[in-house]
Amino acid sequence: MSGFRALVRFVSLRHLFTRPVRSTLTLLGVAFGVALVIGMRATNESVLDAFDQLSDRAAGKADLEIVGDEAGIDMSLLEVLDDHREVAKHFAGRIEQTSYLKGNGGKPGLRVLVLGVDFFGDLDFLPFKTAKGPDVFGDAISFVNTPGAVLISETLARDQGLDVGSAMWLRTGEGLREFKVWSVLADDGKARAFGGQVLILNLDAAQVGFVRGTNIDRIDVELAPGLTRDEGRARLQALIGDKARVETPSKRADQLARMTSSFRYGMQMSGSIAVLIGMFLIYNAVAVSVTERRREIGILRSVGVSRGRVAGVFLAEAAVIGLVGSAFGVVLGRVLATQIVGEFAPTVSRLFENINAPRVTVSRNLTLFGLALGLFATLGAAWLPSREAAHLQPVETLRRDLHATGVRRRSMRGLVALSALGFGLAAALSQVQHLSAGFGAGILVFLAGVALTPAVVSLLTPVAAQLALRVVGPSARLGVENVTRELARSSISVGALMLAACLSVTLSSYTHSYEKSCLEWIEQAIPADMLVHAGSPTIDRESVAYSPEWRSWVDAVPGVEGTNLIRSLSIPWEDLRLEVLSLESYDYFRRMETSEYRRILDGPFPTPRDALVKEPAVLVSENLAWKKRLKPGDTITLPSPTGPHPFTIHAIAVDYSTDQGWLMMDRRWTLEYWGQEAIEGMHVYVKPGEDVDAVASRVRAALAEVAGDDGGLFVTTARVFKEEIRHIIRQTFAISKASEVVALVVAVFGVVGTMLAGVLARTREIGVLRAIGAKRHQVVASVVAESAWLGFCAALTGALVAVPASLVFVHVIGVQASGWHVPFHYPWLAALRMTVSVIALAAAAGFVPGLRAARLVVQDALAYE
Amino acid sequence: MSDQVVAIELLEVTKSYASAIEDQPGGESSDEAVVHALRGVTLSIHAGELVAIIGPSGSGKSTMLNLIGALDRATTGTVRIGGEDLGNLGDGALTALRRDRIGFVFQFFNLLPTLSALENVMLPSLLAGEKLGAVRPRAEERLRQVGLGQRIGHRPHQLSGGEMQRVAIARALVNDPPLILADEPTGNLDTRTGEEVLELLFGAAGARRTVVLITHDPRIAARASRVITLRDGQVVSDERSRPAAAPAPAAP
Repeated sequence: MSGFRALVRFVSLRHLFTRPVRSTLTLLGVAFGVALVIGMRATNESVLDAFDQLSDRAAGKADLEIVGDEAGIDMSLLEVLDDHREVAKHFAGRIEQTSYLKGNGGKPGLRVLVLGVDFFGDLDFLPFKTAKGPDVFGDAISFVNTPGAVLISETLARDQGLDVGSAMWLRTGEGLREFKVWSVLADDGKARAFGGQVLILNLDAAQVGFVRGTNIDRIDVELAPGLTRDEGRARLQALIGDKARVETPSKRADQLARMTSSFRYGMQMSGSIAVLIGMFLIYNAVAVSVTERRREIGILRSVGVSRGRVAGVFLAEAAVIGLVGSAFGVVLGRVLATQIVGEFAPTVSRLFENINAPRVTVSRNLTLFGLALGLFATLGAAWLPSREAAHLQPVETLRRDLHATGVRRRSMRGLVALSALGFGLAAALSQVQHLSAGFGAGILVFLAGVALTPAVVSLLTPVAAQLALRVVGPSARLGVENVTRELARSSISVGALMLAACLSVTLSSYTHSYEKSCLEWIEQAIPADMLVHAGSPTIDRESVAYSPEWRSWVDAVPGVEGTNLIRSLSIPWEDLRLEVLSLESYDYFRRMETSEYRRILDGPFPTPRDALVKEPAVLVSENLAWKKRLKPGDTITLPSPTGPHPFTIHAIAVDYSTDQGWLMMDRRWTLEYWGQEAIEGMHVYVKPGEDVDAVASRVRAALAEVAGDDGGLFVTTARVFKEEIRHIIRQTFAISKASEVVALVVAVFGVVGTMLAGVLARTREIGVLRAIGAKRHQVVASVVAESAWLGFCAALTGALVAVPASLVFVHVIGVQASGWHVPFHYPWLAALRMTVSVIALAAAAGFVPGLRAARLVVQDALAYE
Repeated sequence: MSDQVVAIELLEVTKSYASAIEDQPGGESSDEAVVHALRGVTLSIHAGELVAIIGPSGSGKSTMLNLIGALDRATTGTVRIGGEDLGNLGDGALTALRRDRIGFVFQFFNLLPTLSALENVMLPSLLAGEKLGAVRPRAEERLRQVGLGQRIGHRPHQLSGGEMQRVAIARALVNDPPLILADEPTGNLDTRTGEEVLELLFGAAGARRTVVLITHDPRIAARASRVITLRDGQVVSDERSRPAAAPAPAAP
């Protein structure tokens, strides 16, 4: 064992320090790969933790929750519970709404969680503690009877500089309204939900303020002693019938986790590809190390070092790089996660659930996972070349002449066959109707592309070499030919760079395909000239409902031709959370008659104006129809506060607003079944010939007069609205973009490493070139041409392999994850941009090794062994 | 000696290297010591001479060849090639000098493995910017002269050691340089093949061309017109024997 320690000390470690640049690049490659995975995982954990906080903390010590859809549940259920104390020992109804709080004293405004609490209900099982001001839980009467009185959390008070008696402005369904701080609550229990930005109103005030009518959002229940959760849930469900659902508090977090799973899965996949590229880098680094240390290996074997110990020398080097790199990667991952959460949390808030920006922590388990991942990935990647080192015959190491390595014809044929097999398997997997199979097919296409790369390089290099000779000169030709000459070594770098390039084009294609379809849909499916929303510029989870009376103010604005009232309801249905868009459908279909856009995929077209009014009928989105095998004429039964109601499916329509499923119904039914007067948006139509921007300014001014002008109200022209949608789409893919950049950087590290190794391996050859008259710049040109050609081969293969990969992403993964069938669009411009970037990056990566080559002392280079 | 034009001139040339010495026994720290590879060498070689430089390992043979070949610079003293003081030349000029006026033949052939025999021979001219069409006939002619007219498309790994060295000689001659420097040109060849290579090299020497070769082998040195012996960085003997051993059957 001591012998091995000596080997590690004098051979392994010393080697790492004698190649500081390459050791650092390899280490950074590991670090970046691990950082990306840790960053993605930490983001996931933080977001899931935010979901937990939202449900657990807000639910306090409740055993069960009674919930309805977004329209809420009728308060009469409280009376039902009151009659059955043998089941529900304690219970309290509440409203839960996020809204916009105007910044105090010049501070920026922020989103807060508003809880409407019944102070005359059973509150003893809900953990509220007064920190400052009158104890509202001892004397609720004064608080309840004081209009505009609110309780705020200590965090909110501190952040906004508020105190007992301070005035504050909150956006409600009636516009921006003034409230006064009654007391400050200790940061405990519910008050810690939503990052501590919590504000509490009396239940009645919240119902009025957020246009809930007599509905509440949920009822927290503490079960009578002796009842298990399952028993309690069964008995409560029997008591309330189908007017609401009984759930455990954690179910909401589970649902959210499930809803965001494909989103998070994609994020993990991008991270995994970076680790894969990092592994290529390690494999390459160790393989290069074995090649350039053949003599050293021969000497070690000659003096009696066993095969196992020779392999151990290389594995020890890899382990050192793996451990140090992954430790650095964990630290870097935390920084990355903080950045990603900043991007990811708003997307989750808008698309899935309103969460506050969560705090990023990297748990001990995640740290250990990162270290283990880095170490095992490194050792795994180093295993093959280390084994090769162990099996080298000492006599093989004595050759001194310049020789070409290359890849044997048989190996090349094997790789092409492997590639074909990979593509074939991917095609077969694509037929399996499952998301995991889709991701598997995607990975297989990427790997098949990697296996194909050496063949592409071999095929193209002779032509490129002749071209380089004629266009640039012999030095460029030598460089280009070196790629095939050292293909065994360079193919790993080309493969890694190809993978990064392919990932980039594939993600662009995926984004581009969805963006194109979404934009066409947004462009055509909303015929309005202008949109009025509160809380958010689009209807999403951040929207605040407001009164339909605003219509009269908007209709009165000069230049406005008409309005359509919009309400979106989020309705749990089976395992999905459906978005129901309620509008005045007669008016909508009348206006759509002039449009050439065919929104209807299956069913009568054009849609009769009264199709959704005369009987309970809905349009159903394509993805919902696909997921649940629905077709026109089928019936879908939706839960509501007035019980379940069947709706006939009139047609299947294009809609990209949610991957869960979307329905369009007439406002008549939301009023009748859900009792929802409040609206979340208004489509505004401008009279022909009127300037839309000028009319928008007038609408803005009219609404500011009655609803406040704090920025929480959005009067958006269709053009700006479409820009906003475009922004949301891009934001949704922003994280993938980040991992794409990291993958590219890691791959470029690989190219630098390969080129440095190439220069070292060809030291004597460079010496010969210089001796027979090559100028320094010609040597630089040779190395840069080599790396640029390497980049070109990677980019070209990447762009080609991106075609099947994108098809898998768009037609398999995308469909499985969302149910949307969007036409495939190849992103020519992005592919061209990527090709130019990869060639430029690769050429730049060759510049430093090229300079190093040019600076070699000729006689030393000639004497180099 | 057919001509009195001085091709190579060394005046009081010294060459010293800083050499790292590892402390024993730990080998952890290092110190620097100066190694004097050449110690005040003065000599002249005339155009057309065929000079053999001999001496034991570490005597300074290769250092001298590097200085004459413009691959390295002297620490002190003057090196002139064709009357040009190398000390006054920049890197670009030295590169041009090597390319246009010197041909190198190495012990390990040093052919570029990705290039064919013809391409290896053409390379110095192409690097100088000559057109492919102009270089090709000349390179083919050189290969024919060394007996490889039928193997111009072969790559180094398809050639024997002797053939590779012939290609190297053709490459050294392609720009018709007045000076050929050969470092142990037969050191990696069997006796018969070595003999063939020597014939070519000796044949290359002539009225206008000087050939300097380094060798360990006294029998080879004995065939040169002049033998310079180095020991410990100094010239210990400089003997002119007889004209070149063989006529130039394939002299270009």
